[in-house]
Amino acid sequence: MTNLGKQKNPKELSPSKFRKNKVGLGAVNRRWAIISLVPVAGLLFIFLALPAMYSIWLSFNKWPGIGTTKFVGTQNYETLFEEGRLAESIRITLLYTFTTSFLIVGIALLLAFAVSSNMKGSRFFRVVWFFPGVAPPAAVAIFWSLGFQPDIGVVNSVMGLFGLPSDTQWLAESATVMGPVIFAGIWIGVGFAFLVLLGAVEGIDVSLREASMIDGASRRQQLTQIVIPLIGPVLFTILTLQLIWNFNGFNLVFAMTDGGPGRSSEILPIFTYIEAFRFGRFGTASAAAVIGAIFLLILGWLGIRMSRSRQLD
Amino acid sequence: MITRIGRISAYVAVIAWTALILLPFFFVSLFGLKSNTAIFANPLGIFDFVPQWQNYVTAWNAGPSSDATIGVFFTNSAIIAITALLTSLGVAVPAAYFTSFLTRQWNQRILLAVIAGTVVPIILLVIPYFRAFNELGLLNNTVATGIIYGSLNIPTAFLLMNRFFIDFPREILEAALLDGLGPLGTFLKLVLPLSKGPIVAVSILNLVFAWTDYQISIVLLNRRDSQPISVGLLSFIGDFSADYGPMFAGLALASLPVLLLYIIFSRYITKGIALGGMSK
Amino acid sequence: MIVTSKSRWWAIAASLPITALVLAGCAVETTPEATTTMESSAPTEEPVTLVVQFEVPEDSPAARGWKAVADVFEDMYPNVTIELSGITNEAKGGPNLQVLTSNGAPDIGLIPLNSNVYTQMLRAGELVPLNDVFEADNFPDRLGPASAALLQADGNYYAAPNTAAYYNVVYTNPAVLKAAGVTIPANRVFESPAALIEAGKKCSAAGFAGLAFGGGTNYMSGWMFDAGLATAVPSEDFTNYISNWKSNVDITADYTAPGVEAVLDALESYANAGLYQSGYLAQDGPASEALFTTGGACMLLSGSWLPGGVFTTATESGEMSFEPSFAVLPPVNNVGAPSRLQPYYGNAYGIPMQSKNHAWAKKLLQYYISDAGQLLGQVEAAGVLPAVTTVDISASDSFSPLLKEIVAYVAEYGSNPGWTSELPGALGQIYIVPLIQQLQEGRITSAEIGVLMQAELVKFRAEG
Repeated sequence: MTNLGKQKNPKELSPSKFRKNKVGLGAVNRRWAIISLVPVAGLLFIFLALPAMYSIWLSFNKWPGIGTTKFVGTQNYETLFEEGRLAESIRITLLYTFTTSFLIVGIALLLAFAVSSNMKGSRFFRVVWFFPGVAPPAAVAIFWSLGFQPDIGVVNSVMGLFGLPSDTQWLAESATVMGPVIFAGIWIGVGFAFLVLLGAVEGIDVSLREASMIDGASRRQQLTQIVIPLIGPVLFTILTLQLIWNFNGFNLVFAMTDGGPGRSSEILPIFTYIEAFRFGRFGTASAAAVIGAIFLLILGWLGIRMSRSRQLD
Repeated sequence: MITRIGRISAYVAVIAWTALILLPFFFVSLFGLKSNTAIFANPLGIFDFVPQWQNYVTAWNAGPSSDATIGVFFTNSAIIAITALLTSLGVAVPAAYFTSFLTRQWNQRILLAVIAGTVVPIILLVIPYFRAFNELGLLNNTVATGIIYGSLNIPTAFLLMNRFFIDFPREILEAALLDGLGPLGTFLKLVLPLSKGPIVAVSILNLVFAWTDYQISIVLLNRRDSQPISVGLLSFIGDFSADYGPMFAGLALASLPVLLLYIIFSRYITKGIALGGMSK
Repeated sequence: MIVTSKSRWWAIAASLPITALVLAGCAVETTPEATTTMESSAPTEEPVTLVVQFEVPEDSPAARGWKAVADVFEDMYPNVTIELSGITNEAKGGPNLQVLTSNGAPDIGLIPLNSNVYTQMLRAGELVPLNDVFEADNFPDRLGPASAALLQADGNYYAAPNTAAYYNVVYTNPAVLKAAGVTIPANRVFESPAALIEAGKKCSAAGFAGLAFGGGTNYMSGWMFDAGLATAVPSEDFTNYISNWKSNVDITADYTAPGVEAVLDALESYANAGLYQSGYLAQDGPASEALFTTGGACMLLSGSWLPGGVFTTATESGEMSFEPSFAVLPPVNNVGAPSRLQPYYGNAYGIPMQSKNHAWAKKLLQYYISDAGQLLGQVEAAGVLPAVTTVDISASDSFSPLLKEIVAYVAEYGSNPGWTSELPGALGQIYIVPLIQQLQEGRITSAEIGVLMQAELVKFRAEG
């Protein structure tokens, strides 16, 4: 079994090799790079950087939502660290984020692999499997909330069919509430990840897979030794995106559980929302968000580093 | 040899997953036809209930005011979505392309800076947006809200397009240069038409976000006649009395246009979304 | 691509003023002032549009009431157009604060009296004083004792309730109860928590849920606390509990007292005994109501808005095939007052300072709370109880007989104030409900909740 360390670029010339030839293409385009980055910088500054700076400033103040702010230094952060609620919320968030993201990417990869070998009807699957991504989160939340109800829910009915315990009160118990939430998150998220990974898997030279088949590789070996190494960068990109999206995801969990029961599914965005809009403590909410942002920055940086180190050009 | 069992199990998994995907849509539409009792007492029943067709009519008529239909919400959603798309693509795609010509180090730095933008949770963006829009009188302005959605999508769009452009075969560009096309010409006439796949992918993400998000819309668009469908739907769900039938009917109606649009545009995703390397 | 340049110019053009203004907004924290540019004199003859908030869904009693009142008002004053703007239950307790203080504020806003929205708007002076509206038709007298709580320390009224609701009403399905072998005492009050649990067990044995309620909501568990607190602590202590959140009232009763713990213990025992329906901690009001109306539960915990609303529609559509009766939750022990229903005047309406039509808004509000307006809007159109005591509901045909019974019961036996409806939401309901949910799951003890509650009280008072 040949283990190929480098993806053969079908057109032979690799971009980095070409860049070294600079001339013509490079210089002129670099000028355009600066021009085209101005609106990006502008919009991102106004709509992301400025509000972020405002939030950071707000985290050192007390503000009830209207009226004056009161400067309190690091008091908000101290309060958050003293009470255990923020730590608990971060734990729940990380659990949700990592479980959902890895499962999404894992399932999407298996599906992409299954479909890519020219399975019949693959065009149909490509289209249909993204439907959950475009459904309104309100609809998804309500449907799966009903679906996980103990007596009338579809999940328990199906489990009963297979002889599994069918009376779990999924959403009503703190031990199991993350289950439905993660399930719904996966249901929504696999579609897009699947499309991206499908593109990557199909970009692998068909002859490579055929060669390995002739060598007697099982499907599993094909998957682990050829496909995964070759689509590494894409895999990490989509995983990073999923981690970021799920860390910040609010709509689905909020609609399904409202952070409950008893705050047991209170991911950080919900913690922030409740702190700000129900308790009227915008300063503390901003502090919580800043702490969450630091986590995300670390996650994002790690993700890009890992994807960079596997970049093959 | 690919074993029989391997093939069959692949098919089983695929069909099971498809069922898991499609059945909820089917049931939501079905719930739209049921009365409250039927939904709670017999949710999985398919034939043994009395269809309440008027639920769909009620849902359709539940517009912002007594003489407006749900169509107003759709129009607002469309305006927001299209503005967001134009903003996001118009700004991020050229930038992602030209940035791919910088040195790898610079590319990474810019990428990181752009991605850093995604760490702010939307909840906290909402308040500064509200205050700014309030001062500027831009509340209840669907176009302005669309620009926000588009801007929020720039990091993702940039990330995905940049990856694609980095791997774009250089000799095609070289050939264009020899043909006398300037950088802009190359981009517009040559590269863009060949980038349909990733652009469609990015557009889908953008549209989905603008269409389904309600955190930003609910705060910036509080007049009913400027609300998009994601917010308008919430008015079916009260806490002290809820009409589940019309609500599900409304949800089914709300999902329909997006589903149709996606089906139409999915033919551009011929081989999945090729992020790295050119699709053949 | 022309589109590209347009987007770019849009971005640049938009960025500069927005940047400037956001920076300006950050630098100087201005209170939106109570400006004098708002009209404050007599209502004009020119066409004016008034925006009024109500709580969704569209066919809720509140919506129906406002529609009826709006129609009549528009007939009376042809130059006025009234636009109804729905807000969600979630919004009215939180994000609505921003809307009511923006320059797109409605003319009449929905402001629950026990919400943080009310607290903050009072503090910031964002509500128009309504003394003239109240005095014009003698509203305080017509309202009765409930008006005392509306009067603020500065001698002004700022919000007017439109309906009196009684909550902690335990609706019963007589046929199911009989099948389960449960009898309700003559005065409708369960004798003790043990009696309620016993009833629940008999119902479960007969295959029905005992007491259906929306345990997953962020307020209903607080109701059960309300029902118990007045009965478990001496009355002076109870009076202190519902007022010591104000910094000018001394704390004479501590939440770590045994009475409070007794209430929480009772709630814990209900949960442990399986009194509620399966999965209650994840269900909301409508879910529990549907279970009840379709005959799946012996009892339902809800309020006086149900007979004219859900029960009527369910009966009309054939879903509900029985005549419900009602009962009252048991006292926790015999230390305090007897167990009674709780009144809620909380859904109130006020006029934001940012409204551009103060004079007309006041006129509309005055009509809404007048006897005529209450009779039309609450009794006839919505089928709910008016806030005022001077409207005769017994003659009304559209009033559900069950509701009349509830009113008669309250008239005879009185009611107890509810802790969560008196306290500001941030300290009361919002704080304690998640804790009670944890208690119901056994993740926290009653004693711990008492300690936490006391600490939170001290913190709340310190912030002024």
